[in-house]
Amino acid sequence: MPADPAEGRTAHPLLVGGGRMGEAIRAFDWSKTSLGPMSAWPLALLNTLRTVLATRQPICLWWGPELLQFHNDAYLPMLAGRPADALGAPFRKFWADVWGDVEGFVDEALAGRGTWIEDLPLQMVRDGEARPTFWTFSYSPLHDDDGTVAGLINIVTETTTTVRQRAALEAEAERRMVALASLKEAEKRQRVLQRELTHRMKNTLAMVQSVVTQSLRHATGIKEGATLASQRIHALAKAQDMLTDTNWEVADIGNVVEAAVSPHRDHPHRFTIDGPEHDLTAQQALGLSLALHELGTNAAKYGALSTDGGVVDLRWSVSGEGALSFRWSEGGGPPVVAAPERQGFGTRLTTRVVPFYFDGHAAIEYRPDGVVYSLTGGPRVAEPNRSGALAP
Amino acid sequence: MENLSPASRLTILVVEDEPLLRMDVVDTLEDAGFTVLEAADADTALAMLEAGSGADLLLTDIHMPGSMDGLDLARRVEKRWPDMAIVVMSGHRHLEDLPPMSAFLAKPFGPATIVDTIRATAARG
Repeated sequence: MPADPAEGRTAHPLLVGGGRMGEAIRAFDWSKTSLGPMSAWPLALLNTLRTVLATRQPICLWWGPELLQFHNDAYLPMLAGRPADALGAPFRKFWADVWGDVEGFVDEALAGRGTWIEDLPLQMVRDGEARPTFWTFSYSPLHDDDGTVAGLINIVTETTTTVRQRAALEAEAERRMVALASLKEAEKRQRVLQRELTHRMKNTLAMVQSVVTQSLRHATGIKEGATLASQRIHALAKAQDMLTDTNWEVADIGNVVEAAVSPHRDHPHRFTIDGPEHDLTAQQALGLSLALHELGTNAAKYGALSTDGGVVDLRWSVSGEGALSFRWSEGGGPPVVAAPERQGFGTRLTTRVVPFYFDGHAAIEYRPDGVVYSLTGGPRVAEPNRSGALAP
Repeated sequence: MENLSPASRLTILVVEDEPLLRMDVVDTLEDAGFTVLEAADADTALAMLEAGSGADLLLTDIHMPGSMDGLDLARRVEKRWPDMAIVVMSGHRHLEDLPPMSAFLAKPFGPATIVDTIRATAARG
């Protein structure tokens, strides 16, 4: 047995090669450890070490009562950032930072049972800081020449990068799933909006159709019917413009009134308009616009707006419960002789249709000094889905 | 509008929450010679039927305020009065869950269409 030049170091003929760690193991003074000089090591340890040092898979093993560490070259990257004295160091001392996590597996191996763990997370000290790491490894018992368990072998792969990449991929997949769900939700909202748009368009068409058929039904001829229908549709269109400005939610009654009487405002004193701000629903705004159009048209033909001195007083109030009281009063026009014998579309619209939108009542009085139209609404209540014009 | 046919003597219950459309439908049907009753919601319509309104045909909108919509009303009417003809009207082009024996009328519709649909549905019953 050749003597090592260094004092206390004795190489063994079985332990040759093994790269950098092979040299380090041969150069280590084992005589100062509990294993004693290499010349006294059991064959089981020497043969195992020879196999380990020739293996390209990262492997380390611990042997003896203190479980002193050996490892091959492939294992060196796993020691990055850790103290350089891993070789020959007791397991419990060198791996104190993770001992609590692996002690159970060590005990299993020393009891003769192997374990295999995948992606075990370990807070490992590297470069002086505890860092999250992941490991896939097996612990297997190592038997001495007499068959007793004298240590354990650790065949290991660090999976920190793989686990992080997988987590990043999963996070990306999750992000894309969320984005996809968001896209689907957006598409769903778009479909709802398209349906709502179609719904409102059909409502408008149905309302226009009713206005046209009613205008023709009550007209004395096609020409008069066409004119009446056109004027009424124009009044509707103006109200719709106002509602478009507020996304078809509400319209202020003052704006509705101003827009409706504007065709007849031929001098500043023609109309007196007074009332508080008050939001009308889309239905109410359209209905009141049509009613004011009918009243204005009638007044221009027969009432206050047919003479230079005629005036119309429009005023409204709103009760604490939100109930609207609205009044159109004509004065200064030709004397009103009597109410018309036949109820035309305008009268039915103003007294039967429009009050429905306000959950209230309406009446037209043909007073000698002018027509008075009064509309009284019910208390305002929450009306879900009443913002659209008409429900088909 | 055509003159009265035997079907025109039917009594029709019109259920429509939009008063302008209801007024127009009622006028159209009355012009065609039908006897017409009207209700602004399904609950009122059901109460009228229960009270013995004499309606032979139900013409109902679908989307209406109240405890039930027009489809619920049609299903109840079909179960309670199996001989009553039913026409459901809506702005939606297709409806998959109409009661089996009812007819569908897509809004908007012209006077001739509604009268023809009413007559055809009544004749089928």
